[in-house]
Amino acid sequence: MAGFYNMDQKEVIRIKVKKCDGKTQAEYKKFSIDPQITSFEMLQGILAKAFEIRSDFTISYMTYDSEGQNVYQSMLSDWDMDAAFQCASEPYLKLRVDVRLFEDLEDWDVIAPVEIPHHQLLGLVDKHSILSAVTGSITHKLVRTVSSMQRAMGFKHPENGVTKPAKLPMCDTEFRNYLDSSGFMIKPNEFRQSVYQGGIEHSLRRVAWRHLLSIYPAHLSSKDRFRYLKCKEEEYRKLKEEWCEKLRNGAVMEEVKHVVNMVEKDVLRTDRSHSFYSGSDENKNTLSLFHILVTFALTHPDVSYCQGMSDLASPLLVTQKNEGQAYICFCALMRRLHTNFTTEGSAIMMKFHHLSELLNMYDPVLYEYLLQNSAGDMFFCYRWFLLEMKREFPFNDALHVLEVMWATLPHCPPQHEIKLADAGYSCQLLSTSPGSPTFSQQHNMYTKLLALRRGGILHRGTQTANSTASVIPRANNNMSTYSLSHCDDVRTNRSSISSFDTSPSDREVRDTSFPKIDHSVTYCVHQKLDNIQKIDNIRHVLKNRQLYEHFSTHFRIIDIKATDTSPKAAGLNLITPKTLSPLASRYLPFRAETDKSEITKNLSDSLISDCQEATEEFGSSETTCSLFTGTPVRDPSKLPPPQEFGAGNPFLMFLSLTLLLQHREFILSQEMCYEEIAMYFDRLVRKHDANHTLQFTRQMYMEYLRAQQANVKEDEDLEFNLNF
Amino acid sequence: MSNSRRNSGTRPGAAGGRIQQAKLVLLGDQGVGKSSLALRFVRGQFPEHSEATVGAAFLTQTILVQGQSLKFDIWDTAGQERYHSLAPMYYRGAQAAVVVYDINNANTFNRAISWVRELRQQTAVNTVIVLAGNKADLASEHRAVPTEDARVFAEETGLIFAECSAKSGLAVNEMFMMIAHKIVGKHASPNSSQGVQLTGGEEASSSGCKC
Repeated sequence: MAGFYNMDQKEVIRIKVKKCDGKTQAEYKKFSIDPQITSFEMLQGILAKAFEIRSDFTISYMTYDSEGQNVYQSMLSDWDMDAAFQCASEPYLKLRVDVRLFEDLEDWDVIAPVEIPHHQLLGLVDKHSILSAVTGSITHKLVRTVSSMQRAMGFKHPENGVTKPAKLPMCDTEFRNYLDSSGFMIKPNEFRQSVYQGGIEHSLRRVAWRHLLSIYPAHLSSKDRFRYLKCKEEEYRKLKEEWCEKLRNGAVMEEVKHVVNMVEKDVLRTDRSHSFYSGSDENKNTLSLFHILVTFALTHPDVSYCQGMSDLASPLLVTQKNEGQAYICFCALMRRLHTNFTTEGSAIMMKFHHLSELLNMYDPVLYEYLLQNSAGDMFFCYRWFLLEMKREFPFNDALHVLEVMWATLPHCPPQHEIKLADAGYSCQLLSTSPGSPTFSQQHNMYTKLLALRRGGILHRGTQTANSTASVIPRANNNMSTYSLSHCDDVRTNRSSISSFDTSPSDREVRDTSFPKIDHSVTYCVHQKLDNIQKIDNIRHVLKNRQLYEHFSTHFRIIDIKATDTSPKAAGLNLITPKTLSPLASRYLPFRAETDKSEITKNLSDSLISDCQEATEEFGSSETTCSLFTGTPVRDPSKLPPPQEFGAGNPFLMFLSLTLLLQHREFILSQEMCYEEIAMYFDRLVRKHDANHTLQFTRQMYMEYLRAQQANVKEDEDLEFNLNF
Repeated sequence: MSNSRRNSGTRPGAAGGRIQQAKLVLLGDQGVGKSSLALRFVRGQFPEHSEATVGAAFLTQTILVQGQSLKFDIWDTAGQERYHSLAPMYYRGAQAAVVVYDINNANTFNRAISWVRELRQQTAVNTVIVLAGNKADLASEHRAVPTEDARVFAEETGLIFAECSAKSGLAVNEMFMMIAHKIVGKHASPNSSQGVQLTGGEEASSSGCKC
């Protein structure tokens, strides 16, 4: 929302607008808006209404260039609008509207003037008369329906028009409470819980994000952390210098140059409208982003570079303001997210599937509608998953959403240190020719990996050998791989990719867990169905009582404490780090060290009360449910457990669900087809309201955790029975 | 992604006439300006630092051609090679494909050539394929692909060819208009398509040579 961050609290912005269409004389209008509650979209709506513009138009605002000359700068987002408000000159902020004329507008999908999300408009109608004119175009009936809908959903803004976070963002003083006098992080779960509820003050993000992303091993004093960080920064500097040096000398193979080119193309267009990356293409921050991504790609050939990574790294650099530190954070983030970028796409496919399952549970009407319109696969949510919502909110709000989401993930410090490069990496691998014959095998492997990642095709030829394996063991393998992927040491042990000289068979098994996308069109479609089918199978199998025992050795060992003494579990304790605490505590931002009963207590005490508050404030969930279905049958305990749901990020699933529900009415009322839905959400890039979205997501997420917690308890009872 | 519902369908227009729909797909290497060309055509805008497309984007634009309304459903795809395998979902059933390269970067031209080959193999013979050399505004200093090379390739392969600039707007609307003419014309008389392409190519390239 405009003016939420870093803004002088101007109560009102007076605006003078000049409208030009290149044919008729310019028109002028004046009005004023409240910067606290006006989004860019609303401004578009106001302007469209004020000048009765029925076609597309662009907005620009007057500002001063470096020489103090008046210039019009285009306004394309909330970000730009904030900037315009900031530099609004007295007595008016001068805007210019340029209209484009078309012969045939009737059929053109002009979304701008009518696309304002209703919940934003409706929240404003009562108090801000200037906007009531805008809503005039919406029929009374629709307003009433949407309004009651949104009230029930909790989507309607509270009376003041601004959704406030559940608590104030964490400040430095509060943060110190989670550390002891020597700077040991003594309350990691309380820390996460607080971030979950209110986020972090911007000035504290630099420090707090490092904890949130688990870059430090456990039990470090502040002095030790400082030394660790310096040591890691130095390690990064060397990694970077090595490839830079080789690149300067031209002593690198083609694949390396290709990576460099790909990264260069993307960093030059990543968040360049943000002041941090603005200026010339050679600005130092864009260059830092470039270094981070190339270093990561070359030192992690199994992941390499993939579009989208620059979006993930950019906020880290903005927050850390230091290339080395941002790189360390990026490595920590990619420990969890690398599966999103692997070419077989199993993690992403699973997210698509889980979201459709979730939507079906919460809003069967919308789900059915999407199914009928070929959108049941949820492919239009791809960007949400790949970038974890980074592009869906205005930049500063996205930082807030990211930290809240990270706070829901298990605290998983690296056992010894965070790895900045794959185990088998050495800079000699970058060279055009390998030195010694023994080295050449590794070199070949490295080159192949980069090439494979570039093309996105993984050893097609070797597929047949594994394709005969039954679904269950493969699924099993896949599940355990990403269930445990949070933990560095486990990943390293399990992944053959980290050392290049091992046989590729392990990876093939993992990669073929879900078939790869082929060039052939029909294969694509079939495969999509296949994947979903397979996930279904897995889930079915999981639910199958007969196989319960078999799977308990693979799954429940994660859920149940390592102290579990059952013989079935004991045999597999080796692959489960002892630090793994019970399922719920790994996913809930509350104490992990406590015993089970206390966890339940904790849950009910703090988080559920938070949930209840939200429910009271925003209307009961039962109403919501009955509104959608007529039959309140939503049972989140039937959803996959947290370490599995959304491929390990259940909160992201609920965030996605919220975005869908916020716009369900519009999608349904406009009878949008797949393409229109995709286009609609494209237009909403950086326009969602973070606080409002989070508020509602938290509510549903808590409901889910509570239900899952009950499941764990049931499972424990079952386990107990099985043991006797 | 299925959009059979909308492919080349016609539906009643606002003025009572029929509106023809056409699916168009933009293909080409990463960073050649696919999204920018689409935005220039659809919104007349050129954002200076257009972000990398994640997944794919969809846009529409309706134009009037030969007294007939034609609505383009434009699929703008992600360019990175890693996403290549998803492309068939987008070009399947497309009436037109615009294969974009950066005239200042020879590698992107090679990639365009392989796109054209794939399209020729995988799509119907009457699919209108356009070879678009983008970023003509930078060509005076940085050109890496001679116009002649691209034109010869286009003529041999029966493509419409244009050098254009999403930034300056040069030849962008003309290129889409030409596609529209081909599609509308094809609809009127399906047998007359093959010969016109080369003529189209010459027109387009001549308009592109003004730079």
